[in-house]
Amino acid sequence: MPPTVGLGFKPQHFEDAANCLAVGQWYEVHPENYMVPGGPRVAMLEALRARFPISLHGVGLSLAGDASPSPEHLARLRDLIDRFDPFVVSEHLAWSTADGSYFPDLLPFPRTRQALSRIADNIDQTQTVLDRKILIENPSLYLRLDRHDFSETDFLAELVRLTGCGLLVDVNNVYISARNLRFDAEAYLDAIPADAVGEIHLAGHVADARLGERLLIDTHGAEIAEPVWRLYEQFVSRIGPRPTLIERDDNIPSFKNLMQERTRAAHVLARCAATPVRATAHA
Amino acid sequence: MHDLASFQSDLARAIRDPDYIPAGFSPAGLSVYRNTVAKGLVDTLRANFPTVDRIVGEAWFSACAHVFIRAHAPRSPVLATYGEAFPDFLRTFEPAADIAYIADVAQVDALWTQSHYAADDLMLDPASLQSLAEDLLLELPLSLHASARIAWFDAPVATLWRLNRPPAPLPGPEGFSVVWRPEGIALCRPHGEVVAIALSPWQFAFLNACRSGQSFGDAMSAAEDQNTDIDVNGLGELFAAGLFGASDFSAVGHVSPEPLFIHSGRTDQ
Repeated sequence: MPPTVGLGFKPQHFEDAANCLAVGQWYEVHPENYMVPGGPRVAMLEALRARFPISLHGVGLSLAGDASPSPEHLARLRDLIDRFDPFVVSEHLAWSTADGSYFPDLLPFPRTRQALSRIADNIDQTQTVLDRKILIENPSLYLRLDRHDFSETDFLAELVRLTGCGLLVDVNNVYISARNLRFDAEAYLDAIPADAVGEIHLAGHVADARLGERLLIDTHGAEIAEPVWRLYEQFVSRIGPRPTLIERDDNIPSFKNLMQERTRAAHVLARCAATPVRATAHA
Repeated sequence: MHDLASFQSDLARAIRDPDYIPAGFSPAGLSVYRNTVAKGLVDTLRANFPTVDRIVGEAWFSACAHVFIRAHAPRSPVLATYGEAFPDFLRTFEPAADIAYIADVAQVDALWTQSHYAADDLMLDPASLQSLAEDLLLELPLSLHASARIAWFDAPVATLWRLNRPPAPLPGPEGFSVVWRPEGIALCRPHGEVVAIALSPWQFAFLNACRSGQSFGDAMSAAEDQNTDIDVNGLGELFAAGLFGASDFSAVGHVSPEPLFIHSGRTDQ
């Protein structure tokens, strides 16, 4: 079956989600929300898994931290993988734990050679414990940091080369980072190694209340913006169709509204599957 | 110096301390990270303590939560039960001194969350006890359901909690009428949803004895020590609520002429 479009699962949509008849439907969840002993939340995921493929998209491994991933957290993730047999497992190129405290965010770091070696080790350890390949997602960025040794795309390509991981390309994050840090989003997407891409994310953002369009914020709380749709279409026409997620975590609309965005993405995938993949500039 | 560890410590400090901006960081960019972290924790705390939020109001809760999250950063990325320290925090939080029962209400919200996420368990079918001879029944060790949580309070906290726990309707202009007396509460999740019942002194004593592994007979003695009349309906209420587990009963199968009937505590939907 060719790649299809899935939705981030929200418990308030359970009835609609469980009864969805769309061809190729799948759901993505944050595994951290299901790392509990029992109860209705886990039962809902079991009911969904009985009918649909599931993707686990982690936020807690802190792979870009200067420490090995927590063995307890890896063990919990491994348990969920064994139980729910996800078709994709992904994490972020970011950190969220320091000095034993967890920050519910995806924090940046200078992309140095030292960081590359540390993060590659962390991905290696993760893939070894999980006994599978994971995808790494590009973060949305808000701080211009100096001392980078690599561009983000070169850094991601190096991680792919060193660890055999794949990439999850969040087109909304590319757009936000490009606007906030003043780089060219199209050039960024052109530099992504096509073969490594295992999934694409689409989400909405908002302009900062004070600074307006000069600072875009990745809220996952709005409809996918038109420039992000255009970048997505260009990207998929270059690399070919990939499983694509409609991601919404705040200001949650009806299931039907999310399905409308899903339909639009599915049309993009269908168009791109029907035409030969454009030659890549960075083969 | 820009190695990964020192960079992390610096940014972590800048997120915690609003007065600290590391050299070269744009204040606007930094504030996005600060706001995201704070919003994530405050929203999680609010979701885990909806009854407290209802009673004190959104603005008071937000102000209080911002003080709490600075002193109690989560230690784990699993935030399902974040705020375990919140009830005790409220006991010493000066602005909460006027609402003496708010920490107890927070404790019930925390127990609800524990019950909601507790391991799935088998519920003891009360009918299975009716076939037992009295001497066997008295020796029977009763264990609480894995999702059962009990607490005793000097105020009518069970009633206050039930009246204010969303989605309970908001009070009319006349407010609530509550009889001010000590009260216990028991919560459990026998069939997917958490249920709560208010407890009299002897009901709490009975459950508390069961929680420490005592037999039915010893739990009855503990209940009788409360010097109140124990009624069959009050006892039946505890069993009907699903507060007892059936998982341990394979070990005492010899006391039962037939296998005990059990209900799965799991939801299939």
